[in-house]
Amino acid sequence: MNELLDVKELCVEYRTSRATIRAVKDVSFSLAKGSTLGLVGESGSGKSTLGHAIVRLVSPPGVIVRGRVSFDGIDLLSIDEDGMRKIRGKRIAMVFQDPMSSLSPVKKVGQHFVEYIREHEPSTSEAEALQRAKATFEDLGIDRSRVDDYPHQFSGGMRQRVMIGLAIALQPELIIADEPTTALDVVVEAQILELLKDLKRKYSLSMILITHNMGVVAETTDRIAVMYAGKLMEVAGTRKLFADPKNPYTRALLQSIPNILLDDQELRSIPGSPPDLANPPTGCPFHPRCPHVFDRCRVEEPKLKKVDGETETACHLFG
Amino acid sequence: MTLRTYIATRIALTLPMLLFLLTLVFFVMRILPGNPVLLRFEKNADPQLIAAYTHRLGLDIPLWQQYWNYLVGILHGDLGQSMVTFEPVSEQIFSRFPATLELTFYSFIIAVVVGIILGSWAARRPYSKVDGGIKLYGILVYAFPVFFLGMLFQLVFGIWLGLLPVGGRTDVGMVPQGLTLGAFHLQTGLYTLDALLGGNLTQFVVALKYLLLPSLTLGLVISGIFVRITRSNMLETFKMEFVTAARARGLKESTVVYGYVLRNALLPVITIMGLEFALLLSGAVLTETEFNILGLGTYLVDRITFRDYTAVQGTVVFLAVLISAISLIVDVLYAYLDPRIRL
Amino acid sequence: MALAKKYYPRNSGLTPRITGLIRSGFGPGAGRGFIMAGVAIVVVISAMSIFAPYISPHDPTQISVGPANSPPSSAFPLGTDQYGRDLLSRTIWGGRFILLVAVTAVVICLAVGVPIGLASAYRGGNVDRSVSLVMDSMYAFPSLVLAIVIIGVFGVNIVNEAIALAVVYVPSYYRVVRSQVLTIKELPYVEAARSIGGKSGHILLKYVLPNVLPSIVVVATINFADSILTTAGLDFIGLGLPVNLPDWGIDLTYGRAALAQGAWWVILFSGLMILLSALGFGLISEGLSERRGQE
Repeated sequence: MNELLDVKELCVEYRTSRATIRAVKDVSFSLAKGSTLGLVGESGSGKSTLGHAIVRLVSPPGVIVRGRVSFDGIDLLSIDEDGMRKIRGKRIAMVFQDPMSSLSPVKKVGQHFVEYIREHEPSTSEAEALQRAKATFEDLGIDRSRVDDYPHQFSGGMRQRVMIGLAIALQPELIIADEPTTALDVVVEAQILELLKDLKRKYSLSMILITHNMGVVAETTDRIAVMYAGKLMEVAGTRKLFADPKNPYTRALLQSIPNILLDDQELRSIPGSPPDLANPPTGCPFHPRCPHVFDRCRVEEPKLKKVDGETETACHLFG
Repeated sequence: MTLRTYIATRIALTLPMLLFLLTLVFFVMRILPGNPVLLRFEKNADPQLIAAYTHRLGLDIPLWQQYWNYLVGILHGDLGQSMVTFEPVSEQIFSRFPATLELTFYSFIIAVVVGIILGSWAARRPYSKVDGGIKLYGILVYAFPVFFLGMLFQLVFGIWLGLLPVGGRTDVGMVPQGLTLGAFHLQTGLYTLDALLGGNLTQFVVALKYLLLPSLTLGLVISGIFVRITRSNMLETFKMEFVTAARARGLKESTVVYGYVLRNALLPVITIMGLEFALLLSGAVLTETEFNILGLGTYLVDRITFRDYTAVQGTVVFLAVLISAISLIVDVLYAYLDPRIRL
Repeated sequence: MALAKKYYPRNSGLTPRITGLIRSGFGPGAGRGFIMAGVAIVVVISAMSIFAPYISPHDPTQISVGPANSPPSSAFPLGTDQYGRDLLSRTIWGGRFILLVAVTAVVICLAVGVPIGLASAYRGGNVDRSVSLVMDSMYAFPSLVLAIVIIGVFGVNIVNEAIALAVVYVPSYYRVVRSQVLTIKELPYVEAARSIGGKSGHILLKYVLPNVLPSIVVVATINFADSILTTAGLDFIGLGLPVNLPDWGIDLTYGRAALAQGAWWVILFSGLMILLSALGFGLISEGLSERRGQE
């Protein structure tokens, strides 16, 4: 099996006194070694929760209800916390959206590295760890001397590089990047995406790239998984998805992207609004907004299944 | 803004604030009641006696001159004379202040330690029974009249169990003399410190015994606020992304709590220290009264009871300067400790 | 403006506002337990103080109603003090002065602190800066010390004590109101109101004030608790009421003497009452804070 990560029927709920929100509903997908999977969806689609759930970082009131997350043969949901900790940061690393709030403002940037390196490789001395931090900085195009600076002294793009540096310092196998460029302007975004591509090649990384930006996934991913209201609606190869989207939601999503090449284009949005997850619609979650809706959609929730080669979709239009 | 600029600005701000307070005190003592001497003696006194008093205290010169002398005097540490004994108020204050300082110091330590420990316990187990209990403790302890708590402690530990003294600062004849090296003599008036300076362990222990109940009383009451603030700050900090990010790097939970959460959560606590000090002083007045400690608090109450208004004025001036200085130090300390401000 | 009035929704009247307010205080959610417990305590103690003349079994100032220094018994459920006065009666009556001072202090603070805060923050500029300076100077001053001085100079009565307390607490109200106003001032809907010609006073009253109210309530409850404690403290050190009138703080002073002989009952109930009163308000304030943190 070439699958590095295999997620099966993962369910995550947020349980508050007011309501229970099903943020991730029976999500199943797999990730081949060395490939990049784009996980796209609107805000509230559950993609970020899914990313956190893979490394068991869902914080209360969120709960991983059931499922299996198989990483290199290990079921991440059943090992003990200590074992999970050893994997976090060392074999699976996360990159977060806002680099300013992802670093402790009162801790020197270099110290973040040193602590982290020494946690996973305790025999490393403080001096050695610092050297490695400096080396990582160099790798990422940051001046070595800046290990002694504090997070607020960096610009947004530099900070994100630091974050990425923290993620790759111990050469993990999988990187989960949760909206890594959303907080950055387009120029810096391009640089960071380029950087990610380089690192991927250099260290043979596998990556899950979580974003709401279709443009970003088009460039950097091999496969794309589309999420809506906690459910996977379509999973397909990137090219295939853009060329021939099967699921009505995917189609609507792609159609809403303005095309700079066409003149006089009317902006097309998806009518309606994303569902209230505390009170989701019956059947298919997209049915209230779907142009192809019919009776079965309102009643029965479609299951994700293969419809055309490697493309999977969850839609009753496909039987 | 660099740290130096900040310090300069902050000092520049303190001066008008202090001036305002000092002026306020001056006028409260003079304009409204008229002459403090009149206040003291009321209507029936002999006019000649009043005139003599007024003259002796320098209260018959024009108001503006009085004000000027008052300010200049403060700069030189002259806080006026007692209306009763004609002794310099500053001398009296400095003989009484150390007791208050000592009490406040130990109470503060207790308050901070208890507050941070309980607050962080609660924050790590939000919405649990422990958390509820600690929250209740915070509210209860803050609502507890400090003199009542003192009485209860005296009753239980002093009278019923007979373990600890119920009042005073030390046994008769056990007053530490401080350090004497030839001609050099250092005696701070803080019994525990003086005992250590003089190398006398017995005196140190005895002084601590006497300090235990009063500082526990005042300390516990003040701890309520620290518990609350530590808890809420830590809860807030736990939600921050750098905590999740730290966990995502596989760091041990204890590392995350001490290295990431605590350091970020406790930093803002420094900003309330100024306020805490005010509460400590108010509480000290009551605690000193309850435990018969001859500190600045009891001095103030004494002087007011004896209608020694110039002494009262001097004491308030002293406190105003002290508080302004502490606020300044606290703000500068915070600016220094937060790298976002310092750099 | 008249045109706009025509289109105000029908359910913006007073009744829905009040129901809304009550629901926001007592409805389900965080802090409810605290709020309800606190309100219950405050109501009971207030009722006890208000109806004291009717429920007190004896005259609290009358001496030798019973044997001096006797512990709680069926005749005197809370015991007697060294003058033979019934402690139950004294305890029932004992809160009146303290609570009255607290209420007056809070009223003065609201009447002074809130308008100053609103006006100063809304106006901004040098006025705001100077007022803030004054307020900041007084903010960190120990309340009890200031109260001692003012009482000592101006004499003891309800108004003086209330003023002494108010002087120290007005800065808290000012700060809270000001910080809220500064935030709200920049919000789009205020800007919108200004742009259609709304007058400052009108804007402050109709838009800003309602949003500032929740914070004010929280400060007021803490203020109440503090006032109770400070007034009791003043009574305790002898700067309160004339000595033979019933008052929890004064009873604690008496009780101190009796303590050495192990007469615990003289201080216990008065102390507990002070504690409970302050606690009631403290619970309300904590409950409200929790509730607002939840939003």
